[in-house]
Amino acid sequence: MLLIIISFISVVISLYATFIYAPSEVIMGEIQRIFYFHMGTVWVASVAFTIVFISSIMFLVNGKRKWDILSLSAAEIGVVFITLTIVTGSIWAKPVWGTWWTWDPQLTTTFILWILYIVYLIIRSVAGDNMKQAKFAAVYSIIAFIDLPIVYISARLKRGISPVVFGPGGGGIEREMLITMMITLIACTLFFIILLRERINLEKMRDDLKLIKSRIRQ
Amino acid sequence: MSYLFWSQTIIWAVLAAYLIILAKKSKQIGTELDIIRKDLDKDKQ
Repeated sequence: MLLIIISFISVVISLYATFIYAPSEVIMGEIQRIFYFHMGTVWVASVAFTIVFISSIMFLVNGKRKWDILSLSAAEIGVVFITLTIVTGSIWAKPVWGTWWTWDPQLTTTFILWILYIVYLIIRSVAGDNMKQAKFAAVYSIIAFIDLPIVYISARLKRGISPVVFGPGGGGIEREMLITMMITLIACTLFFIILLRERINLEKMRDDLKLIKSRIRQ
Repeated sequence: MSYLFWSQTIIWAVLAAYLIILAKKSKQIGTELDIIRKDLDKDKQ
């Protein structure tokens, strides 16, 4: 409960920082303010898919259900956040690029990432209790993860119209903007932790229910 | 700027709704588990 309260407060502070504290960007104007939340969703999706990658490896190594649950839960939340990344990116793109969507290298690889993890969720849901198919889903998610660094690298290696803000070749941002971004990253991360905990709990309870029902049948 | 504020607030609300859905599902399963466990205890007695 304490985490939920802290998360709620951080969301309110994040909204305040985004719309009142952070200065208006000189070239793009007010629309740039969506960038903070956009970065938050990118960050959470990246963390979620990294968790899927690591937990899938662990599941293949020791076959323990807890890693499978972690992988499935993180993937579902990752898909929610990468969907929000695409949505907020489109809201930003319309006034800046004049289009909701373009097949720029970074957007294309992000779209592929979105599809890859939706397919993972389908494969994992079809697999059910079948261990062999669950392991196949884990192998698939490890391969799917390869696209994540490609999304990051694509904007730098093959320059499209996606802006590069951080890292080599990036333009950087003002101090107030950086603080706002950090607050939003914290808010998104806290919310991700709450969601992940709740999703894992749900999956464990489903397992308990299945187990108890199968015992009754016997 | 108001549409930006509302779009972001709505997105946060969607995330909150997702959390509520997860919590409700857990609660439903928890209730079902409690009923089954109580029934099993009665049968044992």
